[in-house]
Amino acid sequence: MGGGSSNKAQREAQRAEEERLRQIQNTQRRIESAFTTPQREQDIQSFLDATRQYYRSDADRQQQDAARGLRFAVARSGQAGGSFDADTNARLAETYKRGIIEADRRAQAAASNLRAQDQQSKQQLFALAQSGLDSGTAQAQAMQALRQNLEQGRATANENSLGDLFGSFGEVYKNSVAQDEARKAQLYTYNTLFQKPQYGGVKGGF
Amino acid sequence: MGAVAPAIPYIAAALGTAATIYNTNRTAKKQDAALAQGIAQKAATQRKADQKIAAAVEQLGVSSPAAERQQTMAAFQDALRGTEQQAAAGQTLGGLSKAYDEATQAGSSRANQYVQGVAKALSAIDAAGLQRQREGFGTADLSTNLRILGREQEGQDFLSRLKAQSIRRNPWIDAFAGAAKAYGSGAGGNVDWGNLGSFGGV
Repeated sequence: MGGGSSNKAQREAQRAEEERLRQIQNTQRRIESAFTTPQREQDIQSFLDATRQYYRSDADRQQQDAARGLRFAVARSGQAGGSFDADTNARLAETYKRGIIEADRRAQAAASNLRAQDQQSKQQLFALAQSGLDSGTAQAQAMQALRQNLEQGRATANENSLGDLFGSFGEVYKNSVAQDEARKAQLYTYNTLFQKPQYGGVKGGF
Repeated sequence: MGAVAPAIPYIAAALGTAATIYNTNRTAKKQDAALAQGIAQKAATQRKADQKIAAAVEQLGVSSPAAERQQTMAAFQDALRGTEQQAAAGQTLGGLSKAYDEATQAGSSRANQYVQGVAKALSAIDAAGLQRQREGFGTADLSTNLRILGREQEGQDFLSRLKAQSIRRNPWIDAFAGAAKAYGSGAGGNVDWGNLGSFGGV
């Protein structure tokens, strides 16, 4: 008949708990390893390089357009070779280099966002591994992380993402064109064949 | 026989007690076995969950944005295909001079190179986000699967508890034990303690 109570359930529960804890530790190590592979870090670096290159090409194109416009504006205003020419081009160079720094800053911020997102995904998986079958709260957190992932998937870089770096130089160009039109209007005030040009410009074209 | 007869009520009482103890232990063992079976079954379900988690983690370990990059790049190339004529719509003057034609061609070539560079950069940028989107889908699927397993396990737990609670004492053994103890206590009171035969006086 035997004395004492059977403890089969207790032994089974202890064995199951030990196995569960061992499995959780094993899974945590594997999750940590999955998010720290050299390939993942290389992918993030490629993303950083691509983002940096994209922003920088935008800055380069804007600088080229602004430099060309400034060159014609200074020449049209008769300021070529003067202090205005020198100062304005120095300011152009400053603006361009600041744009390059901004491009790099944004690229690094984007890469940091990726790393932060990876951390969040890792923590989410840790929570799922720990909760196991009792994953109600972990599931709600997974849904929230998925919404954030979907927002991350939107294209965050666009053609105008650096903004108009050289907007003020566009005003220089426009003013030079306006001044040129004003000079033409004064030159042809009487609109006769015998009207002597007053400002020394060549009739008929610029 | 005369010496044994007075001991029969005590033997009966002892048998009744032993039967009660036996029935109690037997019932406890059955309930314990039922609980142990439920715990073992839950452990098996937990192993299934662990396998799903391990599969998801393994997928993460080899996750790469290469497929997304190829897809986005292919989509960009499809979008650009056939736009050469429209892109060159402003360059309608030809044959003005050799220098002008060469400059026009060089400009067109530069434009193509620039667009390819932009497409390559954007496909890499978008691929990283799409990769994490895909991984998010995988984690969401995993959590849903775990929740389904959890709900199945809740049902199994309920059934295990019901099974353990439904295990009852054997009524026949209890009846026998009760009768034996009743006989023992009743008959034991009628023993002539002064005449126990070979047992002598008490």
